[in-house]
Amino acid sequence: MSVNENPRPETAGSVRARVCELVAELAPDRKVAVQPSDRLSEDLGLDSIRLIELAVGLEEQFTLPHIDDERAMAATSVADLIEMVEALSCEDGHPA
Amino acid sequence: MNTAAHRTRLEPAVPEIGRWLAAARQLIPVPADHRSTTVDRRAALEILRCPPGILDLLVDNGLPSNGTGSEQAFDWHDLFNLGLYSGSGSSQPELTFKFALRWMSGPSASWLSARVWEMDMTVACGRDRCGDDPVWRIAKPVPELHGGHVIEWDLRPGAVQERDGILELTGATAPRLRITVQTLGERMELVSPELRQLIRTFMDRNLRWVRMPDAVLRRPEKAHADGVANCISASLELEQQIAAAGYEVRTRMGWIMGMLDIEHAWIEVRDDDGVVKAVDPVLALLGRMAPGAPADFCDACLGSRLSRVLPTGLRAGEPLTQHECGGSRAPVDRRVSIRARRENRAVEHAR
Repeated sequence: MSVNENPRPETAGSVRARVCELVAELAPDRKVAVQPSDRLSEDLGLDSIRLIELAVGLEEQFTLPHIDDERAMAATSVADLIEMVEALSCEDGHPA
Repeated sequence: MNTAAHRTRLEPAVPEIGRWLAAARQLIPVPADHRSTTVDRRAALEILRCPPGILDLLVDNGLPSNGTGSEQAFDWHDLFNLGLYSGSGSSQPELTFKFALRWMSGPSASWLSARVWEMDMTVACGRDRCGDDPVWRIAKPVPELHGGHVIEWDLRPGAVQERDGILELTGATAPRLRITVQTLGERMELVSPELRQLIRTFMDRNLRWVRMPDAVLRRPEKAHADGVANCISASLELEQQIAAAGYEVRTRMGWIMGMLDIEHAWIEVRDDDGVVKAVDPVLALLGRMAPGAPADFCDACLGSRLSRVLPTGLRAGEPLTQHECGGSRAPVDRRVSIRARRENRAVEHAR
């Protein structure tokens, strides 16, 4: 799958908003709006299955190439996810 | 079965009904004497990601459950196995496993190269109230057994005693183990024709990997006769066969390092060349399920040490965590988080 299939250009703001939105959908412990500084496990209660769903969801939402599990495991906060999406988009030739 | 009648219960009509029913027919349920129906209907639907009408059909076609309506409950293992082999493409077990096994389709060097992992494990008493004189035991990871090493570790609170690879402490506060390890792999192949034949015969049975209560899979002859296996049953049976052939062999318990923090077992055998080699039939079976994993991955599992595997000193089926309180063994509520250090990726990219 290539990001070239995604006709919608992403801005940094829209990446952030969409990542936060997706995290919020999957976070069982969410009490307030998701912030980039939130930690995925400690603050939002995301377990390993939810984190995988999140990674798959990000691939689909942003038409990203496959996220390998070590990369996903290294992400501990929402900000890390935003950074990962932006990096993967750039790696595939389309800056976010 | 009256399909038309059932269809009225499905909104909307789902074209993959046949696939779900085939999966239900192939399901080997947890034996009734080991079944624990603790998953409610809502959670079951979340695991299977199917419409409620499909779940009703699955129950009609062999998925065991207790109760009806909102009281209906299922065994988690049955739901997991059904979802994994449903072919729906959307069940939680399929999605998570497909993702968790992606590493198998990487270049062969990536299965072996040094990797640094941070493991964070908290264990708590699984009873409503922890009893008197609580004792906690955690199997210490021993990456040295496969050529790696422990970078740092910390187990709190209280004084830790280490005995036979088990870290033991006492006290009412649930302990937390944080450990950073470097794992290392090494490509090896079995040279003994007899060992190779024994392993090949086992693999040719094409057993289906499933999740089952440990007690079921400690009786490999029964599980394998049903056509299912997990790492414990496979290791125990192969250990028996290989020992009977006169080889020095043992099972070993540890972890598959990844997002699903899977407990794992394999065997280690002294080959004709005098070298102890890891034989991991279940990782090889999983490799057959992993999209894009090359045939070479399965070969690598049958002799090599992979850097995704973290050994302990325990044998197959021995509990990696234990807890006693009130004078008896208590269930353990364990939370494990495994993180790959960013430098793992840097090493891969530098190749």
